[in-house]
Amino acid sequence: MSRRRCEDAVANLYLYLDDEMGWAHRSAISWHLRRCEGCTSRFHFEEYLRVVLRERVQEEPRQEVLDRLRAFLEEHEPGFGQ
Amino acid sequence: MADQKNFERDAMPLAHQLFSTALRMTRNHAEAEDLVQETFLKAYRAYDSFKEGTNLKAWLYRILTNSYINRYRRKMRRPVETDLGDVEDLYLYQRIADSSQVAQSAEDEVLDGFVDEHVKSALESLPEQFRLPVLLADVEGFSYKEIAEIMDVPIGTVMSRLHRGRKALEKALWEYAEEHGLRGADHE
Repeated sequence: MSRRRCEDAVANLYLYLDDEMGWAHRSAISWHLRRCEGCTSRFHFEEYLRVVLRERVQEEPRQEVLDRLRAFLEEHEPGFGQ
Repeated sequence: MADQKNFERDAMPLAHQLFSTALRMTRNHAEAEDLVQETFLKAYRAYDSFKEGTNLKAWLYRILTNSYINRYRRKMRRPVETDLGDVEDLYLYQRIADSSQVAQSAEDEVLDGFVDEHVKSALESLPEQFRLPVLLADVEGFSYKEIAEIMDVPIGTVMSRLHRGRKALEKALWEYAEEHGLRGADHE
């Protein structure tokens, strides 16, 4: 696999995963990924890292926190919830 | 323009997400709760100026981020103490792949081995300038343009901070992995 194509793919990995690149360049990288096991593994890892990050850091507030938010708004803004 | 009487119906369902982000911003439950209350009060009072049909979540996050920056302005102005220096691309992938403790092709399984507290601590260890874009992009799924509007900085700044923040996060995760042992070692 051409080293230049691997370098281009890795250099643009974030733009690709963020869906923030032009169609033509994106297609070229997708084409490369179908042929390069090493880059596919790298891209998959970075993508999975985001899934892990999202799942591990999100925290649901307790119901009482949401109740206090509602009470706070009602106290400061009598029109809220009317 | 939006009608204030629809605020509860439209905005309150997003309170969960804003609270979760506020917690990662402030690293403290009580401060996160105060920050979300302040955000919703400001948002309610300004709701008449919100253009209906545009992105309500991004609008609320902009208020949240502004409120956070205003509260912690003194801290934010301090120079970045952490040296994010020269962290190579694919830092974590490369360290895991090079590690003799991890079986080949088991890189993903090392990620499964991270517990919530390690990932939260790694994210929270990033300086604000880098933590916010990573939170907004990778946890909340905002685009570069949306993050630029939320943080009121140019898109180029978002891209550069996001790039450096992600690499620093990978470095912090690797330090946790080294400290606590790699789960991939099971597969050797």
